[in-house]
Amino acid sequence: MNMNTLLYLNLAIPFAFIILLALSFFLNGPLREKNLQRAWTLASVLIAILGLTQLGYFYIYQIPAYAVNLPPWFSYRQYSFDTVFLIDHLSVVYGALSAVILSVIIKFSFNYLYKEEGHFRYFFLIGLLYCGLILVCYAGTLDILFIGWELVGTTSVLLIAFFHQNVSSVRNSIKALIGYRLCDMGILAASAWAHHHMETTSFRGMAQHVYELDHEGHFYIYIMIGLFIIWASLAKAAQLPFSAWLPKAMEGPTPSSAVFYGALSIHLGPFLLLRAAPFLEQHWSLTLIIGLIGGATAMYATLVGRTRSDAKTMLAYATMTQLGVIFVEISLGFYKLALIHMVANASLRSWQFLRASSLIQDFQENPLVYQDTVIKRQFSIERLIPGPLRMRLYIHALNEFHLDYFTTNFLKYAFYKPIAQFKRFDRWLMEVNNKIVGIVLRK
Amino acid sequence: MSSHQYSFERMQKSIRSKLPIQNPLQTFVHNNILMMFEDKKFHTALRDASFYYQARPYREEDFFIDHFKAGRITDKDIEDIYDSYFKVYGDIKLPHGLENEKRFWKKLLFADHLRIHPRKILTVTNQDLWQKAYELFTAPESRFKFSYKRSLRLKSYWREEYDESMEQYSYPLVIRLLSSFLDQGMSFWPNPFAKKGLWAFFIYSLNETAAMEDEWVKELNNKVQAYLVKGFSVSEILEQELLAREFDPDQQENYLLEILFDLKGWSGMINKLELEPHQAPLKAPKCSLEEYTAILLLIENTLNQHLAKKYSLDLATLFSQSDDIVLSKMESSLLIYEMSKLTENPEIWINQLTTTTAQDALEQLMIFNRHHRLPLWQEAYEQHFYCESLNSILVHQKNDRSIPQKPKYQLSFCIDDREESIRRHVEEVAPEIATFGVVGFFNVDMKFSGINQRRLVAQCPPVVTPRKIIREVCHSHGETGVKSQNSHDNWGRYLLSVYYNSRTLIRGFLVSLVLGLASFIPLTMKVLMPRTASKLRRMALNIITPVPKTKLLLDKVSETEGYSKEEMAGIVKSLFDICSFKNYYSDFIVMVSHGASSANNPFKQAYGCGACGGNQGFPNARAFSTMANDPEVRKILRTQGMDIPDTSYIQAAFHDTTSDSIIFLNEELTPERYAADLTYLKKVFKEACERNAWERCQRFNSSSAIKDQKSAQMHVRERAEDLAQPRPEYGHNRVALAVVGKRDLTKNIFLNHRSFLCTYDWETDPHGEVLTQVMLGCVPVCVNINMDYYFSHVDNEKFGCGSKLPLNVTSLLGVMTGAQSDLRIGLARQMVELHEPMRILVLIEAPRARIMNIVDNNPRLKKMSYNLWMKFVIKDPETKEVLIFNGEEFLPYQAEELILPNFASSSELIRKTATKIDFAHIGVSV
Repeated sequence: MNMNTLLYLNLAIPFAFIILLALSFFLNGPLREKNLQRAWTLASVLIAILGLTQLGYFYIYQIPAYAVNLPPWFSYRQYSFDTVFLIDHLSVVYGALSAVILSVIIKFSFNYLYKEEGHFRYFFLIGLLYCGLILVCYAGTLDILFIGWELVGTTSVLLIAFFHQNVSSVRNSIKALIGYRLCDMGILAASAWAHHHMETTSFRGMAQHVYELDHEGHFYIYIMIGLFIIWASLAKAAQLPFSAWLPKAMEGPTPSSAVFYGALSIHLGPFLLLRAAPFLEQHWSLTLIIGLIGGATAMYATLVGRTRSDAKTMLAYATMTQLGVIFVEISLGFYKLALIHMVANASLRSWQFLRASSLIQDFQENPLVYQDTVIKRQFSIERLIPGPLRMRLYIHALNEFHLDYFTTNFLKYAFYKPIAQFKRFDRWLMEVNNKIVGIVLRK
Repeated sequence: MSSHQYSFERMQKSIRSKLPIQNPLQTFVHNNILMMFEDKKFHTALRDASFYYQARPYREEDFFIDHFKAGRITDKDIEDIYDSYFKVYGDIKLPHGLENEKRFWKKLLFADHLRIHPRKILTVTNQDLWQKAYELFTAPESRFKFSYKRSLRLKSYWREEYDESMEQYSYPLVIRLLSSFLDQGMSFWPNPFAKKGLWAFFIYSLNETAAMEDEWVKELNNKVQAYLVKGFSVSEILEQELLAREFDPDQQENYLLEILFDLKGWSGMINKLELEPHQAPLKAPKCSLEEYTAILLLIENTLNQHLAKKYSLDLATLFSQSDDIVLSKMESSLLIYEMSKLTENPEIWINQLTTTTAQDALEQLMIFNRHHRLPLWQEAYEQHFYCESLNSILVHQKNDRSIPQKPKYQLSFCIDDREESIRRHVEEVAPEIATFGVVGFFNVDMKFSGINQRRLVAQCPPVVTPRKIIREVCHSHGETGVKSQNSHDNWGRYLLSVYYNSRTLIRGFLVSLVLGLASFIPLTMKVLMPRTASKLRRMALNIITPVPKTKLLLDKVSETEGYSKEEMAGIVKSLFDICSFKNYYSDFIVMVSHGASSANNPFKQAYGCGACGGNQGFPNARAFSTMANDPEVRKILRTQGMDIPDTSYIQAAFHDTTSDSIIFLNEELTPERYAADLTYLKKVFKEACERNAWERCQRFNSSSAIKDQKSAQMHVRERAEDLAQPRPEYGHNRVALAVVGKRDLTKNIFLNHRSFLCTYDWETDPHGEVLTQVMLGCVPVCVNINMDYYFSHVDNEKFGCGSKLPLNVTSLLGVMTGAQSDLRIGLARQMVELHEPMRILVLIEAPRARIMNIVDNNPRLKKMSYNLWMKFVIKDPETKEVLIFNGEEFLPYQAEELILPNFASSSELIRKTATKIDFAHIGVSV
């Protein structure tokens, strides 16, 4: 057993499992609940053991980071779609984190979703999420990462709309979808440019090519690719300006909120940045942008978050705040700290999400909480602001600084309106066409 | 304007009474959600309420049809209730020409093509008949007007015609305001408007944000500002907005109610906190239903105007639209054709119809479908169970039901249906024990403040107003007590600080780094092995915050705190009178209170002891036993003729209905000489609890692997600790009976915990004083619980709070579904899914005159019985008759012979039938 075998198993098992689930569904319909639980127990134990073994193996034997190069998927002339997987601190730690949290969530969901309509759908989607995560985790090129990235995004949207009989769930899932799609274009664009100019999208290769680009006077291309990668990381991590969807995404069952927005999916944003860090860090402008976005998001999210009064959106903002901090850490070059922060934040938030329903009981059993008491909060920054201004700040923070309004309007003017113009043009074309056809027919 | 009363002032009493009773979840107790409709007959009230709640107040028709097919409703049941139903609810007449066919409606019940949602397509087989039916109608369409209330809002119009949902516009704005305004301490930054009121918050927030909101919000702001410039008060604005439409006063009220019911949970909460601010978990902000109504009305009117402008419509014409039901000529004639086929002689009936009588027949058909179809099914469904249960209980009376005359132990349990099974098991394990059922607050009507839960909670049924405050304090006043108290306070401070600080920016950074990695331990432990994790947690907590020995401060301190010895004697006497010990007191008497334990459950109060306001009952048991053991109290009692011997000791105990364990409270105070009794009873309780757990496990599907009582006990303990468990226990599911009478009525009969059991001995109470107490304490509580389950079950989305899975605790007051929604009312689907929705059968064993004297003198009881909110049955021991009350008079019930299965013990029954049956003899020698 060596690192590579572990890697292959780690990649193969979730995919094989999901394919089996899908096959059984097509042959026999959804599995009976008991059987589904048995299958998932086996799979999640395997996944957790593999993830942890890999982590242990990597650190005990002090294995240096390396890339696993497999024969390319396909190549055409000088373009080649490589199959590269990376083994390093980042992939091993994040892989183990995903495996552990996923197994816990699966066990939690057994009882939580018992007898629930659509439980097969739920467990299938969670499985698909893990496939996506594990691909993103070990991916050595932007192309492979993109496949996993898409899987995570799609399952996330589908699970927000898990209770699809609720109109608001579906509406909010579409909000998330729009944000995801817009930012996914970032990866696509970065990958296309990288293919074109550097003939590789592997993270290591890209970092090595920066010098050449600079040398050939194509430095702006480096900046563009960098910007696209940063852009791509924003929606998943709910950073500004793509923050509005996250608090609205709390519509699915609690464990799915925990695994996506407390833990695994949301930390993929900083994960991508860490993955591309050797590439991005080569120019200060890119790291500065990361830092600015992170800082702004942290300020925004903490102000809005402290005015929230419901358990789940409050947690969403708390997660977002720390993600902003993680972005700042990355921009300052503290990669190890960022990774530890990610792991710690993921674990804390999923724990808080899972217990979100206990809040009433918690406060009830707290000896300091009773009638006509004022709960003391510790000193905080906003109390330094003079009264009237503080009141205004409160109102705007409560209204999330109207981010939803601005983004919706932006989308409206940037996309919807122009497309509507096209529609008008199309209608005009049709009319002209009809006229011509009419004339021809008359003749 | 000054001379005439504002509309809202005039209407508010009636409006307030119709809003749902919404308690903060911390003080949540079961209520009949339609309590304010109780002055109407049951089905009429449901008809009215269903309009406001937009709900279906019965199960769907298929539910009843399936039951009919399975034999759970029989032809005889329908026959039984048919006449009496139409006697009470007679606002329908048989179609012209069918006056002699009294059973016509019954035929309609089974007509698949004439159902509310028909399952068959209407087809024509008899051409002749069809021709005649077709010729009856000359106009291309027929219109039908109904007397039922119709919606005055345009909400459904916008949705159906323009696919515009008003909720999508208004909910984000209103809910954001409310959730923040009412917040009790969840958010880090408290709302600065709590003292200034909702209206001030609304105006300020609107004015500040309108520029960056959608077009309609800007219109709303302009409107409000225009009013403010004119110097209008809230009442005047409300009045103006109401006058915008030409309503008669009755419509005004309905319109406001409809708007308020759109967000019924929040409306109910505002109403509650305005009227009873002390119900708030911490401190209620300055609420006013008037301000709230004004806000909602302003939004409603602005949205209507906005949408009308958007689609260039005229509002006045929209308002005057009618929603008559319109049937085409084809539809009308097909319906008449199908109806005719149900009559005895179709040809003759059709031949004598004219256009008007045919139209009238159709109208009656629609009235039947709308108002009577489901109620008829419901009545038949209930009737089946009522007959079965009465027959079973009556047939059981012929058997030997040995009750120990001089029992070694006397145990008082709560009347709760969950205690039915544990009492049965205790009696089976130790036949020398006698059990009694009393309302589980043991007549100690107090507001209790524990050392850890200092919030004053009313430990009594919601119908009783607590008289006194009782506090729990550390037993030793010395240093250890103070230290322990401090450690609890510090722990509380630490928890709060982690709660707030883990969510902020800089402190959140530190907390998430430090506690984040550590939180892997609870995360994995608590999910993967809940029982071990809880055990470890308890051990750790015992070290950090040692649990001090505590006592209750019962003695009178002031007018509001503590009881005088006379009051204590009164409490003890009234309770022992109910038990009617007949002046025999065994050496060891145990008061068993009960409560539930569950993790991660916002509805904890709904599982607790209904008689203790949904809390755990142990403070009451402790208080009662302390009072009853007090020598001074006993001295007073002796002067009143109640001689409790000095050898008798009254012990308090607590039954956890979720994890099924009974523990003794304040064991250290029990005198040494009762040590043997304690040990013996512990053994009995252990065995009984295991058996009870096994019986309960039959209801959990997941427990099919549970083969014996030991594994069952482990299983239920795990349920109580499991974070992921949406169903820690099934609470009052399937409750349908309340039996008030001697234990021999129900001894040795298996009731599948479907019955409240309340002890009452008619022989020792000639004047009916005890009966008054028993009935007032027990019947309203039973009906409340039963109705709460009924409504949450029949339409879980509208009367209940939907699935538990996406619930989101908000403002420490209640739960929303997902990120933003109405505050949910009622119970969650997972809590009521096994329930059988029927009104409770209350069987009282006492002379009829004595009972009716009480019923007629108590308004609530009178309403509930005369308006048929329960099935009221009297077993008159003097005339030996069983009488059923039908809302007007008592009719004698003729019990049918039936053979009940007989089992040697409850355990045998569980093994053989998996509690699939509801009634059986236990251990009866036949």
